[in-house]
Amino acid sequence: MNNPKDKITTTQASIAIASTLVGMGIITIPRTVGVVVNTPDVWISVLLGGLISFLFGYIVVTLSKKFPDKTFFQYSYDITGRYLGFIFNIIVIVYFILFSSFEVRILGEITKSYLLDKTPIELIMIFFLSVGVYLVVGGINPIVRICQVYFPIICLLFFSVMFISLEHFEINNIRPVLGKGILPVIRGVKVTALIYTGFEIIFILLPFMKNSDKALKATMIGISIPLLFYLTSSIIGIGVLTIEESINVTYPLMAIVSEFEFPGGFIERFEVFFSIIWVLALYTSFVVSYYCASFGLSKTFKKDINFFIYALLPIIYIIGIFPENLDIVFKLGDLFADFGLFVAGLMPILLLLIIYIKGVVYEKK
Amino acid sequence: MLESLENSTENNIIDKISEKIITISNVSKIDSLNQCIYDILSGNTVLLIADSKKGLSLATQAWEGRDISESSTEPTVKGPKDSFTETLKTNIVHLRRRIKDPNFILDKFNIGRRSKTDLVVTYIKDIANEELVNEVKKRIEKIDIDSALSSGYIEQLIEDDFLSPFPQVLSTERPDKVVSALMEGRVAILLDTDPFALIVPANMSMFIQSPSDYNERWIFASLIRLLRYVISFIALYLPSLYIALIAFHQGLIPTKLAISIAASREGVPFPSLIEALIMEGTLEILREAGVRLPRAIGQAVGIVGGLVIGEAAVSAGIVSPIMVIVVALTAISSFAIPQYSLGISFRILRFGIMLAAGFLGLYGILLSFILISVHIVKLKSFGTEYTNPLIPYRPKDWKDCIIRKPIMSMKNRPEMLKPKDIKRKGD
Repeated sequence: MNNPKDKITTTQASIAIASTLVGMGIITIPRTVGVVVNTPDVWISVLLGGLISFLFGYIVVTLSKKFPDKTFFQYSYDITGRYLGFIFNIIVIVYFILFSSFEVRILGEITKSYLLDKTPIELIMIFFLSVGVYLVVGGINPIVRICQVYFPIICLLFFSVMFISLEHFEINNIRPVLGKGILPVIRGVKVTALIYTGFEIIFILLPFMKNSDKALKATMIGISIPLLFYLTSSIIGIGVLTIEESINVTYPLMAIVSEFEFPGGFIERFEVFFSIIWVLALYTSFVVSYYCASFGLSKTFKKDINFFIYALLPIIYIIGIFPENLDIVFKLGDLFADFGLFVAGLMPILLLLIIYIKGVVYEKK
Repeated sequence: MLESLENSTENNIIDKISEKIITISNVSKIDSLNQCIYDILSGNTVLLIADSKKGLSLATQAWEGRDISESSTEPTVKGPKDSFTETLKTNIVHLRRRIKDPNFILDKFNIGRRSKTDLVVTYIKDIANEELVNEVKKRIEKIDIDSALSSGYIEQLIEDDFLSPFPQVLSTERPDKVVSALMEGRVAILLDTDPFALIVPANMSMFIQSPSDYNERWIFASLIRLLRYVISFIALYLPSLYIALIAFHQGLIPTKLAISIAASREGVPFPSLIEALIMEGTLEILREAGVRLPRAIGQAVGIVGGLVIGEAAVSAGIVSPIMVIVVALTAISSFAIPQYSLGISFRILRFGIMLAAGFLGLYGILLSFILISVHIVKLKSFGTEYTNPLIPYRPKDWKDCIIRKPIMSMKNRPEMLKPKDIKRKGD
């Protein structure tokens, strides 16, 4: 189905998954989860959420491995038949489209508030989309390679910023551990779904992999790196800002970074610098989900992928620009998290059950 | 002697003449009119004998050539100084002297329907990957043009993406560079009448390396390489950063510096983008003039242009002194890039990035960075990724990429080229 020369290596698959997961969550997580948990135990929720993602990741890989040379959009028909398979495909495609729109909108908001306060958000989004299309038309291989370019940059910048923040870190801010019991933590776990969904791209990546046997390893590494990101972000975020302050600022990590001072340095306001990590992180997440959506459409409707890449562009833009303000965007984000929970968690379980009940056996050609 | 000739049959008379009578070393038999015409046109003498179906082509060609001189485009401090000339035979001798290996192959081609220029594809048979060699030969055979005037023609006719601003073939006039590329499993193409050899496949990192890296101590060489990456960054982004900071993000500049910049810009009537375009444009004109003018005058123009115009522009209040510093630093940086061809792609891209910075500030610079990185990630040179060995990650090849590790530790050839013989050095 594709050029065997250009198979994706295990490293590339892990990095692609990690890049998709590391997105908007980095700077908002102390707030999004903090609002629900309302105790300094945000990091426990994040950790538990990550552990649950490992489980879901395992299920998704188990399902995909039953059809090692097919993507989700092809084997969904094999499992459920023509009509249900079509519906499942559309659900996943809509999920990826919403995911992309969400990333583009968030990017527009961040860029507008930190980099270009006078430029209209529409323009910012349109430019970003066009740069995205240029990569997506190149196919899956350039996409995973670009993830390999940006991921080390993102890691380096993020962790060095976190390291510098340790200066203001107060251990007392994240104590007491489990002060209000385990219940608030459990409630927080559900919200973390928003930051961990995205590993479903293994649905599409697996048949492109050089060693599809190692898909599980790739997924696990792909989830554990973002887990580390989010854990650091939530511990440092709340350790520096306290839980009360974290839930009152839109982008808690930006608030931390803006307090940096570099004596003798050339950079005065560091948060601008930090927003660069962000654009790169959002770009990779956006591009991967955009590609998956177009890929799904091309497989479902059996047409050339380039047609859908261009056709999706205005749709992603319109969905992205639709919410009136940032509050609505974040509220929709919570709904979207539930949707993600269905696509990444429930649906694969459902499909696996159908396989066992119907006894679908797929034989590799 | 003549007696024996009289006795010989028609067939072996040719053999006898070529073996016993003619004392020229390079003699070949020809049997077609086309070949005869081609040989005469290339300066050979053709000996035809009545009643014989074959003729002899004697290599009596001789031409005036330039002496071997020091490389003018890629000079180094230490190491060999010789460089290729316009004569293909001399160039091959350069290589043969350095590689006395029976597996060193020279495949000859004729390029140009009318010019019939000699072209040689060289590689080391038991190192270079066969697929690569075949691909190069295939592309060379496909060339159909009336005349191949210089290696630039060949380069542009065989490269992967002719729309790209980036050079995808490395051209060099240093034999040592060609030999080191051959030893890595690459293929070199030499064209008669041109002192530049083409090396394929070329990777991004090769353009930032210089042969002198291998002649100096490894720590120094590594640091210089790192410096070159900084230089590339400056050559590409410095003017755009200036534009973005002045026009959009004054808050990013430390207060004291911001005040002094604002003071120096007082009276400058243009926005920073126009200011930068004026200065960069002037510099491009100066640079082009410097190439055209005779060497002695060229330097004078450089000084007059650079110093006088810069100084006058500042005192006339057209540009700020800080802009002059930025432009000068950028120009010096773009000259410090070892490969001229990469330097000129940076020159083009710099203007694009400046426009992006002028309209969208840092966001524009970031988008242009994304655009460039997407482009080079998509780019391929003869089947290998242009970004090799950095992307996709090949940690084993990183010994000689961003830094240069001691030669002691470079035991294997780069894996990215899939050489037949991976071992380079004994333990």
